[in-house]
Amino acid sequence: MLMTGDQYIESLRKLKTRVYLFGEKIDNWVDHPMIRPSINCVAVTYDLAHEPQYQDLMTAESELIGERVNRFGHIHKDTEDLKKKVKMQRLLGQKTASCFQRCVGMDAFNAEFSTTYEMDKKYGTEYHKRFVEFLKQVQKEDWTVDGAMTDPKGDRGLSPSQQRDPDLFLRVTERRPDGIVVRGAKAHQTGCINSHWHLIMPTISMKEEDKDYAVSFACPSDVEGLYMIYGRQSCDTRKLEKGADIDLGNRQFGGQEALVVFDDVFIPNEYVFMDGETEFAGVLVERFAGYHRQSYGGCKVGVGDVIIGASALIADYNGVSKASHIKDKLIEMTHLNETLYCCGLACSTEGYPTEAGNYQIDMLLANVCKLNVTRLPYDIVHLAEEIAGGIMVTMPSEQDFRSKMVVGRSGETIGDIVNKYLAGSPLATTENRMRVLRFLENICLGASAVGYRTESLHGAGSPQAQRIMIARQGNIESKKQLAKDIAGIKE
Amino acid sequence: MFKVGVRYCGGCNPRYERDGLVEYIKEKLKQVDFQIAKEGVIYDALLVVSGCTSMCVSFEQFQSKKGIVKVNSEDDKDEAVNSLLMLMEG
Repeated sequence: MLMTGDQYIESLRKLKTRVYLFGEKIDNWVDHPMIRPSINCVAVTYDLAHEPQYQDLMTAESELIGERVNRFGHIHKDTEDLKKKVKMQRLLGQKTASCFQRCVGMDAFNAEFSTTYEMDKKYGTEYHKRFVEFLKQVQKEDWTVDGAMTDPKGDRGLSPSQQRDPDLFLRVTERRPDGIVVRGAKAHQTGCINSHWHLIMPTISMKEEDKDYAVSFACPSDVEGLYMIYGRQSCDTRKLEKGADIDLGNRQFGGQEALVVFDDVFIPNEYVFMDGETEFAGVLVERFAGYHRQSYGGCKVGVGDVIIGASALIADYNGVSKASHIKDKLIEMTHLNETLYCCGLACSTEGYPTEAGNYQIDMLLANVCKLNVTRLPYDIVHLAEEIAGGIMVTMPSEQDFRSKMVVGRSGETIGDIVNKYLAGSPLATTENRMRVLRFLENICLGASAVGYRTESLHGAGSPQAQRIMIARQGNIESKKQLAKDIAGIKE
Repeated sequence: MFKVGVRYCGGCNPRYERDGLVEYIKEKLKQVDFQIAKEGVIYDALLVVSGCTSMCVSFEQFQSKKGIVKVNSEDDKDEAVNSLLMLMEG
């Protein structure tokens, strides 16, 4: 069943998810002003699946349940699916200008699908069968699932089993005939509170001594012992201001991250997909990271589209749209943005089938894609800020704009003065000029910069992780030989 | 009434206004019943609207008796009208 956005939001209300924010338990987190924009964002992934103009990207035919499902629950069956995934992500970035959070689950499904298959083949386990049953449930119920990988990691120079506190990587603390008990945490989990279920994966390659840490499983968001502590974002308390609108920049949508804590959570065997198979921890990590690095070639591009649009708008409103350097900057922004899209599509086009039958992206190109994503969005916001001008960060608040307090000699209110001195081109009202400027402020250095800047840098692995993968697959020796052949070097 | 199923691409990066183009065609062919294409329905013709030249949209799952008309740019709109007219006459 394909849920609508409203049905999705109502389904969250039925969960007993434990959420903490500013040191307090939040019972009605669905309607909390700091959390709700991120829920609205996920809701768009449901609503667009019902729109004829977007269905070709938003939905796919499931071979598992024989029904049309939301693409976020789909297993990629060819390179066309890989490409449509990137295209869908661009579309959603355009519609929300935020992280819409549901990709982590999709990327985890596809990484688990092939990895569990290979584990079963090697060890005679039944992880793949269990995982497929779980995925069928996800598709039928149209759940949002948090694909959770990153552990807190403690001392980065030590392996999981060497940590001073053994819980700094999530681990199995007890094995029972009917399941396992896990303890630990997953850090900065995108969209975790907005998810119906969590799909947990190990965070790094592991050795034999880390056996208890090589664990993968699924559990509902409101399972006994699980709770989440909401992550702060820059300028987040603007959302708590009474009547906040213009100053938020993006009132309707936003991203979300939280610390997910597993305080001795029991996981029944049917939802355990890895338990001690250390040699497959790295495989799962690489595959998930590969898919997720591909994802950034779609989602950040969609957000980039909105930033380019906002930059062009503020140029109009400032009366500078005809200046050649402004046109050049918009061309440069488009070039940078489309470069990322090219990378996302390229690693999809060069995808290949796994033993399990689903499709994996090209690892080298996916890592090149993500490494570009760690850089180019910074160039894009740099240009956006340059076009917007300093008023983007020095402008008075919406409350001043709306103020009726008389301050001028001729009876002008604060609002009159702000309206007068913040006017730009006759093309725009002061209010609309303020709205675009606040949008740009929000995405360049406010709450949404979490998603567009720092998430671009560190999400799906920090730049060094991509460099390592590129180094592994760059095949420098064969390139040396090419040079030798051309230069006539025989040795 | 001649029935045309309209199938849109997913719209990730359309180079023109897809809805506007469909509205233009509808305006020119008021005698045609345009519907969003659904599986299992047999249309007289199918109008496939792609936002760019990649034409990645899937439409094999839809059925039409007389043919399929594809558009992938604003420039295709008049040709699409003519093609649909030809299918109606044929």
